[in-house]
Amino acid sequence: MKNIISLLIFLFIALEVTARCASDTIKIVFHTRKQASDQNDYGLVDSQHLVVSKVQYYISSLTLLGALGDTLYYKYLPILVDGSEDQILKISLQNDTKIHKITFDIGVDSTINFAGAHGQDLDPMHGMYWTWQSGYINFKIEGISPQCDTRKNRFQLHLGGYTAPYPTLQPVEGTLDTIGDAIICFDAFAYLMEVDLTKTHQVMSPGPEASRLSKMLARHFSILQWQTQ
Amino acid sequence: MKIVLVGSLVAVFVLLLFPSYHLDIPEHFPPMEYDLSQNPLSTEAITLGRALFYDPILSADGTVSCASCHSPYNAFAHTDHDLSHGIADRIGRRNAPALFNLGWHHSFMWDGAIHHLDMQALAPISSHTEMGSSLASVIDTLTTSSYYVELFFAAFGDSTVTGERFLKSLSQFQLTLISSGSRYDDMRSGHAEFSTQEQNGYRLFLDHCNTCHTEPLFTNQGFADNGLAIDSTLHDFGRMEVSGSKEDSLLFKVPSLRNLKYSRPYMHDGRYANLRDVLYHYAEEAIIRSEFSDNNRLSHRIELTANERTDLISFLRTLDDEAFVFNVAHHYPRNMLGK
Repeated sequence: MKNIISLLIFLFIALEVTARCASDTIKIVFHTRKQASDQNDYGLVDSQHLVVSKVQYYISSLTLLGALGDTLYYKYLPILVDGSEDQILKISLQNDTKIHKITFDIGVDSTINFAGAHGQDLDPMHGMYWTWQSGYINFKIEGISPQCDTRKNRFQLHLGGYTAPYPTLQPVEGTLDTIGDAIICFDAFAYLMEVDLTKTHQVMSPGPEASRLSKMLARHFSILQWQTQ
Repeated sequence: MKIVLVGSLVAVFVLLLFPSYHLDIPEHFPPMEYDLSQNPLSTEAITLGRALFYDPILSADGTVSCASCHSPYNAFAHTDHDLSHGIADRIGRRNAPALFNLGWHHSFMWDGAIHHLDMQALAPISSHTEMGSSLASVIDTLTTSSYYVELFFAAFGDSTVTGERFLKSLSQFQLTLISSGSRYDDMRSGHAEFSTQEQNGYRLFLDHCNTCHTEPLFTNQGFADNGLAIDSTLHDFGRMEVSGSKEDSLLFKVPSLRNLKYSRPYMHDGRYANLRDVLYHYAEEAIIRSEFSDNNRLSHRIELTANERTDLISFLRTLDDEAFVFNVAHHYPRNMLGK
């Protein structure tokens, strides 16, 4: 009984202290660029006919670092990002905290992959879990391109796998030096130009191809200060 | 302060509302692989899982349930079919394995494609030759069922149907399928003695079979090549189809030898109808694949005399658990599904 009362008192004090420190809410915006703003961006005549119909991916171990390398914020559990519209993550930080760097992993690590059914963003009902072979799909991008010699010109790239020799978890980092909101932008269009859809249009299982395509993802993420219009 | 006190009261209320469920595990069993702390058992969740297991609404056309291939009267195996079949009488590539002692497994399916019990149900639900449906469709169906909404409320405190809750409740029911009441188990606990013939068979088993079919679970949970010829109509290469490694060619998960009386036919493709055929295979037909260097393959045929085969089968019969097969707590919940 004494232990329970001590625990309750500790929890109360902890709540009070926490309430007095947090004072600012910043936004991390997840944005997906799904089309070329200028048809000559990548020198491809048919770039305007590329249609990206779906972009979904997990980010995990999201970390905000200060100038001294101090951890301002850390979230291990994966967040499911749906590129169909901007997604905003609100984070509480102390007033006027400068974010020096943002890092995260694209995907779900092996610990979570092995740990059974999860809920919320990790719930298999979101369609990001392979039913025929255990494991999360770390990154999913689908659409239509005339370059695809497939049924209805569809491409489907489902990138996953968490065991050697073809893991697909990929680190991303970006330096900011900003106070305030940030935007993490994935350029789906640029990524697909690098993929070369004339040769690669269907990846649906772990393996060397998923690993290769995963390694190309990080360079199409940009992390910038977000200024509202 | 008020918030903390209220929170504590809620915690106590939840514990009272969802009493835990205790599994009866014999002392000679090893520790369970399944982490119960991630899915604490409750009577209500087990009841929900049992209803789901027997309900064909999980399939695309409402005709096939888990129990359609995993019959409780056959130790939750699929008897009288070499290859299991699903909706529209579609025939699959393999024989549905028996389900028991699943909490001790760290891989599932004949090729180990599934590595956690919670996720196993996704495979048959979405397979074209089994239930032909999808998790999303199942969630939709259950959400619109007033019957299941009530069961989810009873199990989880609110009526929200999620993939996680669906899968974990199925796991909870399957975790209760513990087979530990055979004569062998009685012998291990000191409540029975083997006959001379059974003892001879046990000795033969330890000499020739225990490496792969390791007691007391009678599987080492690994993958092995037991010398089966490739069925040219199936081209099933087992573990290699999951790992992509040629070294895993023709490796299949080692099944438990418990409840063989109830769970024939045998092997991943159900090619052997009885145990004598199995022993004949090991003695006369098994292919020794010396081109592989691993230790997961049969290194020599197991040549036993006729008497030795009889003694071995006599021992294997001591692994049959009649109490498990006839346990009404595992059977079709007639009072729930009302059919």
